[in-house]
Amino acid sequence: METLSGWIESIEKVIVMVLISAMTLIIAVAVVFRYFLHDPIFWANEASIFMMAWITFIGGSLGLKYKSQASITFLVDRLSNRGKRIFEILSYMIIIVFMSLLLYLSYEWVFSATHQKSSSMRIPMWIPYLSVPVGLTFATIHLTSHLLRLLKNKQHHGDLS
Amino acid sequence: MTMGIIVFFIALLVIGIPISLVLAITSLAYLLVADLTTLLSSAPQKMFSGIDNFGLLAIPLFMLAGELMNGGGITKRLVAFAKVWIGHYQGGLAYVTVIANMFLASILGSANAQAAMMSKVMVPEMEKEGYTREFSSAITLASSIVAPVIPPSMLFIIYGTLTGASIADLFMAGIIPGIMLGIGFIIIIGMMNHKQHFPKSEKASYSAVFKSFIQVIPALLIPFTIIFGILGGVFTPTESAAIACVITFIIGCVYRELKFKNLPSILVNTVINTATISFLIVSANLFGFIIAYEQIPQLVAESMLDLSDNPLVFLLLVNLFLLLIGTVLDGIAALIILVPVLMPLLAIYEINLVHFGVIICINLTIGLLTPPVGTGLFIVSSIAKVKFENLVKAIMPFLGMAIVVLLILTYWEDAVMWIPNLYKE
Repeated sequence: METLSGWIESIEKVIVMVLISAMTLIIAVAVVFRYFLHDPIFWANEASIFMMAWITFIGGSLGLKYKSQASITFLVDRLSNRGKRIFEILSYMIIIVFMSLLLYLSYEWVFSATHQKSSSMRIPMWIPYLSVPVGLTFATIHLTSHLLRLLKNKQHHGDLS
Repeated sequence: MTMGIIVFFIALLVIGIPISLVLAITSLAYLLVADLTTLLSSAPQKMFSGIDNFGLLAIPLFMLAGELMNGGGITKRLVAFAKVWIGHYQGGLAYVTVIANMFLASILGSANAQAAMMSKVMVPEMEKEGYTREFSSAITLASSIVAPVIPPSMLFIIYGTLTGASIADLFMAGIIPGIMLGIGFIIIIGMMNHKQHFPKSEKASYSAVFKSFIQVIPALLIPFTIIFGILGGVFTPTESAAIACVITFIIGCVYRELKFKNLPSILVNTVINTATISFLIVSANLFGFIIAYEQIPQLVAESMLDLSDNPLVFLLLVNLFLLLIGTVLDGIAALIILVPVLMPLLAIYEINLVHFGVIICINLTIGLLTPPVGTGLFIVSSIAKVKFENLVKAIMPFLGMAIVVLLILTYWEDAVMWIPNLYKE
């Protein structure tokens, strides 16, 4: 599980690096085309919003991998290592249960939207929509890997933050 | 039912689950328990629509500009520039910290990022000249809160996308409040200077003044482009952010401080920092379901109107409430959760959307300085290696001043709205 999570992490990094660079360039070039060449790129806004969707869900998954999402820790921090570990395991279990539910719902949603087309580029809407299930799948794998390591390693005392 | 959901929500937060996930989980649990199957199956759609907004794209772009700049040597040059001008006055370096922070704020939009950047540069420098480490850290942290007030600002971008207020107007409205905060901190330093006689640096030669000015010009291009580009209608705030990225990238190359081997980590950091915010927005959009379904805004409105129908009293209560919330909850999370609840009240009390945005954003930024959960306190105390309690003690005068400025701005709408109204005419 840990190896799988590691592989996914590298794939995610490559995807987001390409997306954020492309998004920045598209928006900057679109300004030049509109203001200086008077020939606006009609699809620039839509394309960059779709990229942002992928950045959000893939980046959110990476954020969970690195435990960089904001949480309230000042109460948990006062507990003993044993108490912390119990709360951490409990947290991961709750998250994974609900994440699986959301994952199921999002696959159903993407498959039900196969006929929709985007408004300006006329590309199928499943292309941006797929960011939700894919990001959540990756996130679930990272979380499961964290939980398994926590269960295996009794001495572990990290924090979920 | 409502009670049960609130208890569940708080329990999830307290055991340390990330706030963004708490919002999503609570929403799903609510929809399950209330057996709202249609709404439940549209949950992913609702989440997706949370990012379907061009304004939000300014968040990763301004973050990228910040990350590029950090590697691009601009911070150092801004500090050097401020230092040759005012460093030789008594307490000069303390003033330099405030001024350099104000410059940097016109490029960066996040107080946390700015506090981290500035405390690495300023605290060692001030300590070398004989300031205590506690004071140096406190002044650096305090003045970093101008970052999200002087444009660009992450908080204004988020507030604008949540409420539909113009982000350009919010940016312009932040200029005077940001300067007022800076002046407030300068007054505090002046008063302390009177008693403690702070050290001063040597006077710089004219050639050094000139040289530092030449070096800082490319860096000052960025705020110039952002403010006048938006004012002149050349581009939207989001587009100005993309242009700022291109400029910082070129400047980084000109200064020869941007290394290409650092680019991958710059890009990945930007995405992760962006996603912590945008993922929160996505979950909060889902959470909006429950808030609307349970008619929470209406309940809040009714109980507020029972208390008072005076907008001044309302604003005072909101300020007190937000300052309290800001001590335990991250500012951006608080903004995303509370704005949809408070927004319907603005029409009732006839409060300007932009003015309110400035108040709420300054208020929640002050939360970075308040224990027990002031994120800014944690960042600076770990970077500058100051004890948390000592930093809290040293920050008190500045915290007091920030609250005074907040109250002035709350009741002096013209100071906030002057520039936005000016450019509309």
